[in-house]
Amino acid sequence: MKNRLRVLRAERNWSQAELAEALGVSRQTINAIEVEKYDPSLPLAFKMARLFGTRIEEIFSEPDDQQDEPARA
Amino acid sequence: MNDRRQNFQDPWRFVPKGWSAGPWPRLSPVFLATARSCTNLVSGGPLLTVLCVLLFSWSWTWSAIHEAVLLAKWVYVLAMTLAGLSIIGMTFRPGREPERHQKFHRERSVARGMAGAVVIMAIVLWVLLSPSIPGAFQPLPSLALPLSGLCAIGVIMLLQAVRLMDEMERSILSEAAALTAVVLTSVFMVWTLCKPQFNLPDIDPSWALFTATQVFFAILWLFVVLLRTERWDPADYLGWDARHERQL
Repeated sequence: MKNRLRVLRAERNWSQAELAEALGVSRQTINAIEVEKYDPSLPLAFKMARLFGTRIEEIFSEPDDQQDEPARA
Repeated sequence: MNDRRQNFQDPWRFVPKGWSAGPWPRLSPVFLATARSCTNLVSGGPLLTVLCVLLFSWSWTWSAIHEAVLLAKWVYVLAMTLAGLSIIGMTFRPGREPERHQKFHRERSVARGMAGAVVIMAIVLWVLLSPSIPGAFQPLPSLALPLSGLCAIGVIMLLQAVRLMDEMERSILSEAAALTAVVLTSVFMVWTLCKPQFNLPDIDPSWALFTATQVFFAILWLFVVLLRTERWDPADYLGWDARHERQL
């Protein structure tokens, strides 16, 4: 799962530790999400969206190869 | 005081600004060095056993290999005890904490619970291994009650730590436990099938417990370091230095 977490965080000039504190997770979790080693749960994704004042789809997106596939009925 | 902290040889260098004085800062380098070296030793448990077998089983007989593995067991249990105690030492701070370091309260509670459980596990392993006769397991009836009580305290500490963990920490722990179960079941099946053909010894419960502990911590370390987080350092995790603040 691709994400724009690092960009959104940098725009607000927050450190990983500050974001982790605001979301109630460890800094290592934020780092793992940013480097796409860990996909957050839906509740955490909603929490992030609320914190950044945006929608989940604007933070997370599918990898390019999956986006190219036609939608199944 | 700030000048003293900037001196690399000074024990205060690991202590964030604002921590109160006391005997702890003097012990900080000891705690940190012990925690780092012993967690590496615990995570490299299977490697430690292989090294001991290679170095000390001169004649390559079963009894010589047993002796070498026994040595690895004692080193491992000692490393577990020291790692747990040093991490617990790092989680306690005398005096009032400055506000910017209160954010590590959750991490410290998790580390304290896990380290406490590890120390208790090491004590239980120590008692179980104490007969020191390879292949022999004694039920230790006189120690059954205190050991059970100790195990119960360990489980409570572990549950408390798991309750405070965030979702990634929980997922790493459960994945490591699941993979350990798969690895050990496979080894047990292969051992049982090959036993008559290669004249292998019976599986001893204390050996099984020791191996399970080694494999679990090795897999846990593999997940933490290679798959999920950039690295795991007790100093970084517990907020002992300000490296996290440089990572933007």
